[in-house]
Amino acid sequence: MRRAAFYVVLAVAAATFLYPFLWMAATTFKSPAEVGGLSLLADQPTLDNYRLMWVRAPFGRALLNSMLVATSVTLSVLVFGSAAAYSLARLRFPGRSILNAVTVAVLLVPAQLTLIPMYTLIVQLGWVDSYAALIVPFAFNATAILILRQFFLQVPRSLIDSARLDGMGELRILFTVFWPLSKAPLAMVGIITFMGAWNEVLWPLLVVRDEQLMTLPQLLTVFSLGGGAGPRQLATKLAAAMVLVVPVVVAYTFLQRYFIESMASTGIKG
Amino acid sequence: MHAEARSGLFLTAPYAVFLLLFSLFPIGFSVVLVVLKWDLVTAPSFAGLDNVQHLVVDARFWQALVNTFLFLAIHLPLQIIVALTLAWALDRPLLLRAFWRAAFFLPVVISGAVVTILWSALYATDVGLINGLLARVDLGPVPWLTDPAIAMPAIAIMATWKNVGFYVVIYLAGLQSVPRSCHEAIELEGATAWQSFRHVTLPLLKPQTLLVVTLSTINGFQLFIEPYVLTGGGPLRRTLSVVLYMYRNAFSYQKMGYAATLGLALALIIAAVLVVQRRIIGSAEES
Amino acid sequence: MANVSFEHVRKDFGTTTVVQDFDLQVTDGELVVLVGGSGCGKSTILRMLAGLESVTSGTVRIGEREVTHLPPRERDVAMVFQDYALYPHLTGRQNISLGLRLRKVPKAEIDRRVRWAADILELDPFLDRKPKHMSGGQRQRIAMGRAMVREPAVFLFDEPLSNLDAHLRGQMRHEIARMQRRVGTTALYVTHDQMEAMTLGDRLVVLDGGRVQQMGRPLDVYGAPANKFVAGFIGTPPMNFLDGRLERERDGLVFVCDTLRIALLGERRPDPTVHSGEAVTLGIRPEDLALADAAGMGTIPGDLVLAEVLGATTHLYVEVGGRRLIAAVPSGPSLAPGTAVTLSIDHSRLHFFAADGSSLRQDGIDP
Repeated sequence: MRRAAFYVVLAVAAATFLYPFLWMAATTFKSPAEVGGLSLLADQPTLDNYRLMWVRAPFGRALLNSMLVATSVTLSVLVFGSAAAYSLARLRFPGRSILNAVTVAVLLVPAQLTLIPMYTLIVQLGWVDSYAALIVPFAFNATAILILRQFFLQVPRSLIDSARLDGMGELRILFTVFWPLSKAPLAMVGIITFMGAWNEVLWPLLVVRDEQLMTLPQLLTVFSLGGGAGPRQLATKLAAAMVLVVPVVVAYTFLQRYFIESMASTGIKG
Repeated sequence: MHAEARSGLFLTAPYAVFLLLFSLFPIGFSVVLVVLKWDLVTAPSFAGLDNVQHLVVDARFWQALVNTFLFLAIHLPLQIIVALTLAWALDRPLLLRAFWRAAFFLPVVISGAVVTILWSALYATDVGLINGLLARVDLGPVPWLTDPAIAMPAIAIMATWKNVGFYVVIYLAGLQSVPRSCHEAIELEGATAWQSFRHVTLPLLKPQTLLVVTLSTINGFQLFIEPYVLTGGGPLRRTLSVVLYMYRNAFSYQKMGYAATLGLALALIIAAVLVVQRRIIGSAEES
Repeated sequence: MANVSFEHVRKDFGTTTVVQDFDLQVTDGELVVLVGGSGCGKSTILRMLAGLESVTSGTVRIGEREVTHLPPRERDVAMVFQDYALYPHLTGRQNISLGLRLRKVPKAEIDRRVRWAADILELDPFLDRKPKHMSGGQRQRIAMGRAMVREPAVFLFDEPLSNLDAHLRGQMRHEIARMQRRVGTTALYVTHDQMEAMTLGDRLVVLDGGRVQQMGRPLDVYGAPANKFVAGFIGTPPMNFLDGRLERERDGLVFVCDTLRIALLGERRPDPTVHSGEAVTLGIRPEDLALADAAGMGTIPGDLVLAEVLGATTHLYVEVGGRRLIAAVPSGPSLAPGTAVTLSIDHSRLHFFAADGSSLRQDGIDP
């Protein structure tokens, strides 16, 4: 009996986290009169909210922008980041210890400190309203490099030595020897980086004003600030939010283990 | 030069350049900006300590700080208690354990913008879900985002909802690292479940609690999208956050120097708060 | 101080029965050792007494009280765990006193008891350190101190020495025995190490597969094992077993095993009228074999495979008719592998086991 009560309480807790999403989805199909109701099914379902949303702002374009930016950043962090991590871990070169120290030190600096100076830099470079502004400042990630470096340190030296004897260059070694062994940390870094880039909103709000270049969360934010607070506006805003939420929820449903393990393990180790 | 050293330099050169441009330069330049007055269009002018002086008497800045501390005062205890409770609930053989865990964690992966918009709908005074539920039990409606005293607490609750799943996973890992025999030992010694929790589990969760507090504090000082979308910083500037104010100074008022000053001040305040927190939690370990 | 009783206690995990119909009466102040291989149910029995496992059926009593379904905290038992279960964030002293503090025992009394335990166990050098700064043996003693200050009705020990190195194990064995005798509390001790069992217990309970194989004083279990399992488990090196059959010869009895024929000369032997022709297993302890100068009646010829010199004793591995026997003999002049040797038997200390493993009744002596 106690077990049953326990599960009921758990279910209520889970509902607290899940139900709002369901309600949000339901509301997007409701006409203004029904908005605000608690039922999950509309009496007179309508696609008006989606039509309005799609027409008012370039959400399709924003989706593409987000994909482009997030993918580019993730690829850059994985490829260039692992090259840097590999060098820091296994190669000896002048300046290595300084680079290591700076990498760690950089993590201690809060983002707020560098936000404004970076913004002025972007303006001075003439990168306002460009993909460069959205991608380049995130091309490398100190946390990712540290995670990968830590992992690379554990690869047995003998593997590198035999690869070198086979005549492989460093890049070859990195991609043909280290990468296959590093699927777990690479996946973890990939997921965290992608999610971070996908959800980033403050930076785009600073450096991008052109609607055609806005990322999806950014466009969503801008869109939701306009309009009033009436039921139709509410439903339309939620419809816009659905564009951002649905792909993530779908991915999460199938990959939740990877999401949770990747995102939380940095916390558990740190 | 040695081939290995050549490769090393070659492979890390892009990273080094990046660090110079996007990490070291900004850090250094932020200090420079403090003594400048600059609107990004005309040339910057030297302003001495004007920005700092302005900061000291800027009511908006101090209000933003007060708002942040209010946020933390509600968010931190709420976060710890809810995360710990849920983690404790999950720390046992359970049906569908992966499902419960995934449910709590879902808001963590959703973008902050979406969560904020969702909660603007939940908190809406007339058509919001929460007031709708309260109406069912003859309560409310509560002016969640329009009452100056309630708005920031409302944001604190939303922030807890968004992030608690992350800390549930952290605490769960911590709970599972407490040896079972310790629980059995203290049970044999006559402890009730609560005593066992208080004297064995809780002290051993000190590292996790410190993590929760640290990350949540940093998160609290970084509040931006929530007040930006939900309340614009109002009502009566009671939800203004330092980062939002900083953004406005840069983007809307075009006062780069002052914005950078805000950023530097914020960074220092965060550092100070974290040090104090570490002292408090660290020393509690001794008792 | 109390006596402990188990009556028809049974434990099932799902469809598997882990402990079958267990009965045991422990008298006040006794140290009873439950010994057996892994999975024999000994830890489960201990934990059922502690209340850390539920009892499927049967009754458990401590003193006058029936405790079968009481929660652990109400049973007045203290336990020393295999991994010591010390609280990592507390010092040794705090570890020992936590239970008393929880029960709101007055501070003066707590200090008195901690001092008492510290004196008996010599805890002072590390009493104020945290477990991570203690060695295994020190942690062990703190765990014992924690159990002692509770002044419980029963001490429980769950393989407390398994995690210590061999040298320390011997030392701690004495500590535990000394402490228990001094304090006089009834104790149940679980181990898989038969040497610990033999040296510590007032009484042994040998378990296998959830069933009691034999119960008794150490020397009785050693000298008159009830079955093959007990005979092979207790004693080191383990007893030698030869499978064969008994044959009557004139008015004597001969044990036949392939080409080996051993005349049974002692008075302790199975009744020839009953068991002639039967398949039996002959058991001889290594210490009951000796090197003979010459072959004769009742000796065994063989070839030396290996001689392990342990010091004063040497273990001889002798191949006899295709089987290997171990003899524990006093060390003497060294012998090369391959030497032909003759083993003499102490015929008053032979053991016989039927096909089902049970000990055969021998003339005038009950197994």
